[in-house]
This record gives sequence, C-alpha cells and structure tokens, in this order.
Amino acid sequence: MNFKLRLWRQKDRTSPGSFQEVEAHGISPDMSFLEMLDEVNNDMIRAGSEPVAFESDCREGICGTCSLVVEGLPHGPDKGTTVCQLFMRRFLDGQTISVEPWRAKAFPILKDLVADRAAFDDIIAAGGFISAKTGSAPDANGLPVPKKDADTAMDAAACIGCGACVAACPNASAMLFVAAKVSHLGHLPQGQPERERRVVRMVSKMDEAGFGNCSNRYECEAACPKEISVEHIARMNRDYGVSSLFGSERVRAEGGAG
Amino acid sequence: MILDSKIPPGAMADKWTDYGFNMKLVNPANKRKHKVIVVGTGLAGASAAASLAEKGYNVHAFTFQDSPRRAHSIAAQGGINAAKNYPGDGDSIHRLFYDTVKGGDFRAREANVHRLAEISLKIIDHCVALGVPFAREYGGLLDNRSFGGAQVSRTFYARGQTGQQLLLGAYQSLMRQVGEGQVKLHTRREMLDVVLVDGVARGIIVRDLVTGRLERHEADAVILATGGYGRVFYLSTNAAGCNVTAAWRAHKRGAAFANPCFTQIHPTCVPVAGDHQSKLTLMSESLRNDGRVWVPRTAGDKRPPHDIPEAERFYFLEEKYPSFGNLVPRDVASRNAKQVCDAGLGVGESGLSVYLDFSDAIKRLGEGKIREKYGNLFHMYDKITDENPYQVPMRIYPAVHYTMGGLWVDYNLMSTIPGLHVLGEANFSDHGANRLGASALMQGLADGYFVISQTLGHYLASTSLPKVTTDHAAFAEAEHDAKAHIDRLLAVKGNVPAVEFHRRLGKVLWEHCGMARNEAGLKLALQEIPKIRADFWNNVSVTGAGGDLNIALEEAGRVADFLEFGELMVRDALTRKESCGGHFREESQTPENEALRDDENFCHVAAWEFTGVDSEPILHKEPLAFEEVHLTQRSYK
Amino acid sequence: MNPIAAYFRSSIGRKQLMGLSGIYLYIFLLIHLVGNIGLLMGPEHFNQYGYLLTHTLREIIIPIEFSLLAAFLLHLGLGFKLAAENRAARPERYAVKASKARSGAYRGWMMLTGSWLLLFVIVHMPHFRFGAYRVAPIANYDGLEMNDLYAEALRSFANPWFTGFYLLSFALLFTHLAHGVQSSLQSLGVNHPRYNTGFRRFSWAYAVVICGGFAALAVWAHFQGKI
Ligand SMILES: Cc1cc2nc3c(=O)[nH]c(=O)nc-3n(C[C@H](O)[C@H](O)[C@H](O)COP(=O)(O)OP(=O)(O)OC[C@H]3O[C@@H](n4cnc5c(N)ncnc54)[C@H](O)[C@@H]3O)c2cc1C
Ligand code: FES
Repeated sequence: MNFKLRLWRQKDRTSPGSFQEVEAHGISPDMSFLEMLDEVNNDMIRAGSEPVAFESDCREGICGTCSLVVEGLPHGPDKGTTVCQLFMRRFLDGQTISVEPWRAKAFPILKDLVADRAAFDDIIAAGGFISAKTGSAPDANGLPVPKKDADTAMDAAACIGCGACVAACPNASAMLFVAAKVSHLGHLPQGQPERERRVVRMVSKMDEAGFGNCSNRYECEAACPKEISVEHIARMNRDYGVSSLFGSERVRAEGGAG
Repeated sequence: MILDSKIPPGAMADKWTDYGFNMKLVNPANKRKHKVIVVGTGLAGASAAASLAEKGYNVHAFTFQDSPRRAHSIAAQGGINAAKNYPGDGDSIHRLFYDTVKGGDFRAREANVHRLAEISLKIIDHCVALGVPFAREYGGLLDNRSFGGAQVSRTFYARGQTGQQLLLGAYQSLMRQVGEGQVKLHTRREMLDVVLVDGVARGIIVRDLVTGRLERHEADAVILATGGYGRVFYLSTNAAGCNVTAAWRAHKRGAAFANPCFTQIHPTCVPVAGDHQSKLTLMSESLRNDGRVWVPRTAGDKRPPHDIPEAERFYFLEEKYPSFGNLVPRDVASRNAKQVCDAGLGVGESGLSVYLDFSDAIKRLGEGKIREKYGNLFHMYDKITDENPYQVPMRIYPAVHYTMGGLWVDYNLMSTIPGLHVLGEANFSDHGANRLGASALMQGLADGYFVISQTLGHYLASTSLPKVTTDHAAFAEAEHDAKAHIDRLLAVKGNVPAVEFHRRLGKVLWEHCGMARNEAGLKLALQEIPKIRADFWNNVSVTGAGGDLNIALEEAGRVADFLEFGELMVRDALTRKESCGGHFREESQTPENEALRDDENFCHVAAWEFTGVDSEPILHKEPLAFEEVHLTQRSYK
Repeated sequence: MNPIAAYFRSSIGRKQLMGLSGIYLYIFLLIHLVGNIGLLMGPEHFNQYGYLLTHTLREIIIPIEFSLLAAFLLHLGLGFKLAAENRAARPERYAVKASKARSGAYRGWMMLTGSWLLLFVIVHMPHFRFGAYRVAPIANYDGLEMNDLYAEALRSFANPWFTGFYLLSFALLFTHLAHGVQSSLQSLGVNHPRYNTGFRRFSWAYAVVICGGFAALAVWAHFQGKI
C-alpha cells in the first residue's frame, strides 16, 4: 500500500510548526501505524534527514506512551484502540493521512509529534493515591470488597494515562483522566479515608494546569482506548460538590489551600 | 574480583528475620541527609523510591520515559504469586520456595529465593492497601488462579492487567512522595554512566532527552532498576525502549554481569507476521489454563483447523506430560513448540506456529465465561491478526520475553561495585535458569518495597562516605566519556539506520542463542557479532543534532550497547556446556529431549568481568549450594 | 483560599452552578407555558391572568423575577467565561477536525444557541414583559382597566416574520435544552446506568412539551390574529 502523509513538524516548544508532506511506499496492511511511521523515518534517516519525533514504548496498547492524532482523531479511527494497535489495513490505498500531536495548552509540544503530559503526573501527586506506608498493611483478606465495587474500580483503573481524552475534548479538559482515578480509589474501602481530600486536591490541581472545562460532549469517552465511561465523571462531580461544600473542616481547609 | 554473596548464617527459614535484627540502622534524623539515586521507575524502581522516601531518605528518581507510569512493568498481564494459601490447596512459603528453586532448574541462590517467598505475603497485603483492584470472589475475598507450571492456585491478578495495576500502585506511592517533596523526579533522562569515586558508586551521568544536555548527579548510593535486556534479540515482547544501556555501562565500570545467557522464551505469543514487525505481543500464559495446544499429526496438513478430526490432532504437551499437560513450565512448552515446528508440523503460512484452541473450554464454560476471563486478550489477538479466536483457534509461537541474567548482586542486592545496588529484572535474579510465571512482579516488588529499604540502610550505616560534589574529577571524566560516545555516533554519518543492525543482531542471536543452542552455532555467532558491530560503527546514520530531542540518536545509543552485550551473552552460552532451564544446549539432553544439567561442572553462577570491548571478559564463579531442595532432574511427566 | 470560594472558582463548581441555574430557568419555562395556555381560553381570562401577575401578586412576583434575572445572568456570564477558558485551553487548533462521539453536533452549539436565546430575550422582554405596562392597548373588565395583552399577542403574531422569529427561537431552545438538561444532570453528578434511559426520555419529553407547546401557541396566535 502507498500513502501520502502530512506530518506535523515543530522544532521545539516555542517555534511554530507546520505540515511536512511525505510519501510512504510499499506498506504492508499488517503493519501497525507506528511501524509504518518507522519505515518512513528509516527512509528519512537513509536520506540524511531528521526523522519525525513521535513517542511509543510498549506497542501493545497498555503503556499509554503513543499519542498521535490521525486524521483529526486521537489514536485514529478505531474504537477502543491506541494508535500503536491501529493497523494499516484500516486505511485505503493511496489515502492522504494527516498526523498531528495532542494539542492542549496543558500539554505543550516538545518537538514534532511529542507533547509533554507531565501535568497528569502532577495531578496524581496532588492526591491520586492511598497513603499507606510500606509494611504497615493488615492481611489482604482482612477487608472484603464487594465484587461489584472491585470490578467498577478496575474499570476505572484501566486508564492508561495517554491523554487521548484531553486531545479529543473540544475544550482540552482532563475530566475523564481525573475522574477515572477518583472513581477507582473512591470505589474501594481502602480509599475512603482520603476520599474527600483526594477529589478536592486533584480537581484543584487539574484547574491549575490549564485544562479546559467539561461541557459534557463525551468526546473523551469515544476516544478513550480503554473505553472508560463518563459515568465516572458524574461520580467525581458528585464527590467534588459534596466534599467541597459539605466535607469535614479539615478537608475544606486543606483542599482550598491545595 | 571477589564474589561474596553475604548470605547470612542460620536456618533457611530464619535467615532474613535474623538478618533484619543484625543489620545496622540509620538514625531517623540522619536519613534525610542521605541522597539516594534510583534509576528506573518500573515496579522495582518505583517501589524502592517510594519506600525509601517513606523512610526518610532524600531520593532522586530517574526514568527515560515521560512518566514513571510508562515503565514496561505495565505490560505484565498474568499475575503475581504469593504463598498466601487462601484457596487452602496446600501452598506455603516452603512450597513456593521449593517450586521456584526447582522451576529455575537449580541455578538460583536458595537463601534469596526463600526470602522472596517469605516476602510474597507482605507484597499482597501492601498492594491491596494501596488500592490495587485485584480480582475478587462474590464473597469479597481475593481470587486466585493457577499459573505457569504451578500446581497450586497462588496467583493474584487484576484482569489481564496485573502489571499495570501493580505499577500504578507503586507509581501513585511514588508520586505521593514527589508531592511531599521527598522524591525529586527526573523524567526523560537516560542514564549513560555510573560515576565511581575511589571505587565506590557515587553518582550518575544522564542525558536530558529533550534538550540533549548531559547532567551530573551525585549521591551516597545508586540503585539501578532498569529492567531486562530482552530487546537484544530485537524481536521480543519487551517495549521498544527496553535496553541494556544502564546495566552495560555499569558493567563496563566494574559491575559483574551474571548468567547473561539465561533468557526466557515465552511459549504463548502472537507469531511473527513479517519483516516489518517491531515487536512481538505476548498472550498471557493464563490462556494455557483453558486453551489446548495442538498441531496436526501429519506434516504438511493444510486443512483448516476445524476440519481436522480429533484423532488427527497431536496435543503434544498433554501427551508428553500427562500430569502437567498444557501447564508445563515455559521453557518446556516453548521447546516443544519449536520441536514440532522443526518437524514440519507447524501451522500458519510460515509453519512457525501451533494452535491454542479454546473450543473445548467454550463448550464447557460458555463463551460468556471465556470472554469474562480473557476478553481483553482475545480482543487484542483479533486486532493484531484480524482473526476471531472465539471461532478459530489462536496461533501462537514462542518469543523472547524475560531475562534471568543481569548484574550480579549479593544478598543485599549490591553489585560488585560498592554502593551500586541493582533491583528487579536488571539484576541476575532469584529465578535461576528459568522463571516461573507470575514471579517477576513478585521479585521486583520484593526487591523494591521490602529488601532494599532495609539493606540500603545497613550499607549507609556501615560505610563511611566522604562528601562528594559533582565537581569531582570522576564526574568530569564520566561526562566526557558519555559525550565522546554521542559525538562518535553522530560522526559516523553513514546511511544505514541503527535499527537494521539491531535486526541483524537479533537474527543471529535468535538463530544461534535462542531456544536451542549448540557449540558450532554459538561459535559462528561469536564471529558474526563483532562484524555487525564494526559495520555499525562504519555505516550507521544518526541524523539530527546532539543538543535536541533526537530519537535516532537514542536508538543508535541503545543498539551500540546491545552490539557489545550480545557478544557476552553468546560467550556465556558457549561456556555453559550444560542445559538448564531456558538455556538448552543440544549437546546436553536426556533421551527424551529434556534439558540435562551438569551439576558437577556448572552448579554455579557465571559472573563476567569486563576487560574491554574487543577483549575477552574474565569469568568468575559463585558456587551454588543446595541444602534444602535436593538437586534432582526436573520432571513434569 | 476560602474553601467555599474555591468551589465557586473551580471548573466543576462553576459547571454545577451553570447546571443549577439552567434547571431553574427551565422550571420557570414550564410555568410560563402553563400561563400562556390561558391564551386559548379567551381574552378576558388571559388579561386577568396578566393583571394578577403584574399587580395583585406584585410583591411575590418581583423578587422571583429578580431571581430569574440573576439565574439568567449567572448562566450567561458563566457560559461566556467557561467558553472563553475552553478556547484558551487549546491555543492551537487541529488542522483536521473529526469526532468519534456517537451523537449530535448540536452539543457543540450551546454558545451559538445560547447567544441566540439572549437575543430572543432582549426582543421578548421589552415587548411582553415591560410592554405589558406601557404600549399595549387597554381592556376594561367591569370597570377595571388593564393591558390587553391578548390583543397585543394576536396582533404581534399576525406578522409572519415575528412568528418565524419565535418559531426559530423555540427550535434553537430545543437543541439547547436537549444537550443542556442532560449536561446539567451530568455536572450535578446524576448519571446512573439504571436510570439513564429514564432521565434521557424524561428530558426529551420535557423539551418536546416546552418547545412544542410554545411553538403551537405561536402558530395558533398567528392564525387567530389573521382571521
Ligand atoms: C509482556 C510481558 C508480560 C509479563 N507478564 C508477567 C506476569 O504476568 N507476571 C510476572 O511476574 N512477570 C511478568 N512479566 C515480567 C515483568 O513484567 C518484568 O520482569 C518486570 O516488570 C520488570 O520490572 P522492572 O522494574 O525490573 O523493570 P521495568 O518495568 O522494565 O522498568 C525499567 C525502568 O528503568 C528505566 N530505564 C531503563 N533504562 C534506563 C536508562 N538507561 N536510563 C534511565 N532509565 C532507564 C525505564 O524508564 C523504566 O522506568 C512480563 C513481562 C512482559 C514483557
Ligand atoms: S505504545 Fe504503549 S500504548 Fe501505544
């Protein structure tokens, strides 16, 4: 198969970027989208020019590193798929394909197709955890968890932190990412002691980072490679409202400061 | 070089507990003053950084990825072992210890393995407390499954994403410490060297992958948790960025590399589709619990699988190993798949795959149940191959998956360089010559959460460490070396991308140092690899600049190290003239084609000392003694 | 920062205020519709109803009107503010635009339809709310003089442009509500798989009744006025 690619090239954080048109020849339909880009890059390297920078690691849809907007769609046209698991058989021979980076103020572009998603780590650092010191835990079966809750927690915990939700949101909002963690930990009994504090602090960090506001368009859910449901967002909204307005004093004071 | 394993005295079951009491402690007020560098934030690194920071140390954590959450531990699917005996099926610390020593074909240190089995219990407790959503039963208690060659159900799992959930647990703990200012996180930094001051590891040199700047970081101790080197084969189930760079550069500075030829080839992977492929995908071993492995009985049978009647199917694992059946250990399953394919019985276009058939399980349990258990794996298989495994049997073939070899460490997890500690897959581990399924996660977390957080204190409390700054000449020299290496790569200006050399290296290793090895092949590989290396340094093309985010440069740097390391691996395989676990020397097999150990001559850890890129390394041996588990020939019949 | 103040500054807090104010206005629309149905009962009934609201119940109605005004301004102000922030959250747009979400481009029209509804209110209020005190013709029932709102309504709706403007506004109101109601519920945390279908049906039915009701009355008034 052959393709005409329009690849976003941008020297660094501050320089303006533009599209570079590149031809991809002799692509096998069994190649993944990234393997196709590898081929294109190798051609560039052979020709002495600099390859297009893009990120990937596991190449099996779990690490959340790969992050390309293909024809306007984060991770490309397939549902529930990361771009490393998108195969060229999905495209038409001769098709023109535009490839852009995640675009959001909170995810500055470092180079070409590489965006900086450190804001996600900051949000987790603000409260996306259960504080338990190593070695202090009681027996694992000491605290039964209803299977339904454990399953729902796992549904939310499946988030791979790729940021496609932000990339797809018309407002570049990070609600689905944050909600997934709030909901994962909030569904477990172990997560209850810090539940209020967690949601207040994570949301405040999210706002600080410059993500947009949720307008319930659900593009995030549609783009999520793990198909995480927006129900978790509703749950976070509930938790946030209740915790901020009616939470214990301690939480409110700390939350406000956080 | 002296290999002192520092195994504490006493009865096997008491060693670790007693040792805990005998260790020197760092005064709580002084912990803050000790700066500790942790390179790698996978399960081992993140858990180490988090627990050391909780104890009060001043931790600096480094990863080449953009976030600690991306480490390749995230990809582990199947589960994590622990001798909890929740199902009440006769498991115990002793049984887990016994299984692991035997599964590793008697090439691991007993004392380490016993400690691992003891700690396994605490790992589960801690992970549950951190909110890891392990699978549960309706009663709300934890569910277990049997996994990879174990006859008890001791594996805890979180759907098909156990590694992800465990890593996220450790990552969240780490980020908590980052938020509290106890850990300083350095992402997008690739470690290029360890810095030795007076023979002691006192810092590292890293490259900032965004700006290209080289940085010096000093510390009182350095911990490497940089993962395995499976990518030396090019095609493997490891992530694109997995590398040997950190371990190799440490090796070049004096850390012995142990058992590099011990690599694990996993039996259930999606078969290779073509030359373009950049990686192979694992299908969790748990599939072997319900799937049956078979090939047609007659060579060249091209009928579609469901047209082949039962009598004409060769369920080779069930027939050869009636008591373990499809659940034999990985090395055995892989080798048998290779044997049937070599005999022309393989299926698929290339003839290099065997069926993993779920039709019986679907009949017995219903499609719904199978979907619930393996839905995400089936989905992934479908996406990659465009075939629906609910309707046609999966096709699988072995692929490189894990590396048991690594930097040599003593009982305290310290390498032969004082102050340099190595954790997780990066060390030569407790798995001997073959790792049992669901044991790597266990080991990574044991090392990180529970072992290093104690043994490092002992090291710091019992060593006098003069103050060192990054102005020290040793830092300048190491930085200079790292820079020279980069400049050399950029200066070749050939016209061949680094990946092509990587592929060539991978082919040589897979061919001659893969599932079956023999003297002639290994000798050939030993000639081939230096040639590829020389070719690399004459013709590689690294475009772009050094002072910039440059993926071509990153890749070339890693390939350069693999090209040196690969040779050591082959040399180790050639020297070990026995078969054991994943290391199968064709010259050394039983009449039934099973691995035949030579305990007389090879009951040791082979630890190699670096002497120069083109000069022969020196072999040191750490003899292994088996007091608890008696040396026997493994049998899974 | 004061925790309550923090809530009102946060993304979620403000969305919830948006939702609450929207729901308040929405409930008002139902009452408004019920009142308007009085048109069908003839001039006297309708004009007496208008008199009741503007004179007899004045003390109660005025504060309610202020609260509505406040809700409206809040809804409006937050709407513009959030939209501006949302635009700023993506300084550089995508070159190719596409969507994977299942339904409705109308979800993205909230700013557009909202702005139109603002225009509508600007036209509608002086005419029927303040106009009711000034320009409308006078009716006389048993010696009590009052504005003849009925006649004014019929006169106005006789104009096809005027009716068209109203109908278009109701159509846009419908799309605004179709997303708005469900969005408000989501912002307030009301989303449960067991009840979602019910909520969805209810909010559609409600929007159909409101917009359909107003539209039907406008059409009725148009033809009534012509005869
Ligand atoms: C597909 C797959 C499935 C598996 N399934 C299972 C399973 O079910 N059960 C089980 O027990 N085990 C399983 N394993 C094995 C297990 O996942 C790994 O052995 C284990 O997670 C390794 O953890 P680690 O912390 O040692 O290394 P990793 O998780 O690989 O982390 C390495 C870290 O080092 C960093 N790093 C590496 N080099 C450098 C450098 N030069 N500079 C800076 N940083 C560097 C990386 O950024 C990363 O943070 C599986 C492995 C694979 C590949
Ligand atoms: S590369 Fe890991 S998810 Fe795509």
